[in-house]
Amino acid sequence: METMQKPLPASPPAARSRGRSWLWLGVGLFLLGFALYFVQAFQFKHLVTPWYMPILFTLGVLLVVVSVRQRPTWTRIIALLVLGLLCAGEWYFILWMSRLPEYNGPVQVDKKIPAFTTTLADGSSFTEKDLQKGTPTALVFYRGHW
Amino acid sequence: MTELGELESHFQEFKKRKEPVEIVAISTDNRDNAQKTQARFPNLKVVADTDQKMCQTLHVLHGEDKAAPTTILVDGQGTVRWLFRPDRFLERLSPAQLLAAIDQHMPEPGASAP
Repeated sequence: METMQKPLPASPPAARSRGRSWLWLGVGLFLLGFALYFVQAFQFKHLVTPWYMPILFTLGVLLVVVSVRQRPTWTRIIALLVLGLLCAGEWYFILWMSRLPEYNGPVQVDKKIPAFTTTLADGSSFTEKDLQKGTPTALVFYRGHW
Repeated sequence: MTELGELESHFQEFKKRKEPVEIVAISTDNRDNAQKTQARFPNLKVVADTDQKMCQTLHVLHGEDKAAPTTILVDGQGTVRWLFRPDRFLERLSPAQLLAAIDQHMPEPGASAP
């Protein structure tokens, strides 16, 4: 990561911009988090939990805190609140909301798959008997349209 | 849908096995959406479990009406060989991981167990 530029010598315009680069760097870490996830999921199609997002967001919030401490303007305070909420929301999403319960249903390894009936996209029926015709099958349950 | 796209683009690897593996993709989408999915991924078999009967029977519902991402390997006689559910719904098996699981849990005739 690039090192920060040294603060300008104190003068009225420089005083106004004091700590501003921390603010932008903090905002940049949020954007980086989103960009990395976009690349991971849509370019590389690598579907794993993006732990780096809440970590980058937390670092971003810390940088904005530094910026507010250097010059507590309303703009920076509001930015801190917004980014802080976003960061908290991301942690909540990753740690709790995205969790799936462990499987505890009737499907058991080395047992026959329980009898079921459903319908294929073309309207024909699909049951457990279709899984006994000699072709090994991977049943992939997906969330479908949100 | 990224997951299905990945499986579709690697379907040859599932088909070229001595015992080709069929991939059945199941969601609670309505028929209309399932047909669109089927058209997009012609090498998968798409199930429209609109009334959630299959998902309820096999206990894979998450929340009120969505399937929890879950993968079940079933051999040609209908016996379950493996079940996988990720810790988080952001996670999915890659085609390579699914192929590895197939090799491990449904070895082909004559293949030495890994």
